[in-house]
Amino acid sequence: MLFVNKNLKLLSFLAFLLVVAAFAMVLFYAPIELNMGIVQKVFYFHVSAAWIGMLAFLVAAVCGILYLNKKQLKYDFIAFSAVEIGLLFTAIANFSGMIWAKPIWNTWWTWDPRLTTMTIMAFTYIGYLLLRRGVDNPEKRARFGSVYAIIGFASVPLTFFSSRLLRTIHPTIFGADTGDMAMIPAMYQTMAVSIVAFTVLFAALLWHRSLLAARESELEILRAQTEVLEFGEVLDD
Amino acid sequence: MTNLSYFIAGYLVIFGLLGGYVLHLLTLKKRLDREQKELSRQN
Repeated sequence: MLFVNKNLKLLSFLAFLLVVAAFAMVLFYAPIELNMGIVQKVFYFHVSAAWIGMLAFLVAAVCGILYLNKKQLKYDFIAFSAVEIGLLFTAIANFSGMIWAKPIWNTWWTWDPRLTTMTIMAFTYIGYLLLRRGVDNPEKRARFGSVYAIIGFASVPLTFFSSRLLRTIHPTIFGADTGDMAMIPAMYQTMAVSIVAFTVLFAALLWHRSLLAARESELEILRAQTEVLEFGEVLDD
Repeated sequence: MTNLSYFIAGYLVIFGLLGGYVLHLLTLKKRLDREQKELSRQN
């Protein structure tokens, strides 16, 4: 089982319940939007996933700063886990957005500023995961990862503000002068529950993944020690 | 507007990716348990 302590078990169960509740609200509580029809209901989880993706990259950048200050590997484990989960949620936002776009924009993909900046952000963090693998020393890897996560975070505000500052066909829901999509209270409530559900889910996944990352690191050290012992025995023979 | 199939596809992708990631974590946990057993036996 993945559950190693009671609080993590509770958090995971709460995340599951909230996601089920949010999905029930999407199905039965949120009304069908008049212009776009039922496909607009993809919006609730699409936006929540995009927000959590950005939050995850913020967590990675903060943990990067904390690692550089305190030199404790636990911050590197959390940063790495946050990037991995951030990419998961960014992929969810991208793919669900493509499926929403097809019947509404009549295309799966367009090089719109929001979609382009989101792709740049995703590739920035895919680069983080790939390059990290190339560093064997855990401390060097953590230092490299921290610096990368801090610099890579520049792609997050670029993505967030792209639909607010540049000419785009992507709708802006929050923080715009004029709403691009007419929303009634039931829609905002469903949106809020979805964001809370995804935030709790993110916290639970981050906890699980960080514990596994710590164990991976312990095993890496243990494996290296075993190899040294075996090499020593071969030399003695 | 009839775009129910896109709505279903959207949520299949969302839950598919989430479920896939949870499975990835479970597989990783099992692999780490197995490796830990092997290494402690060797030591």
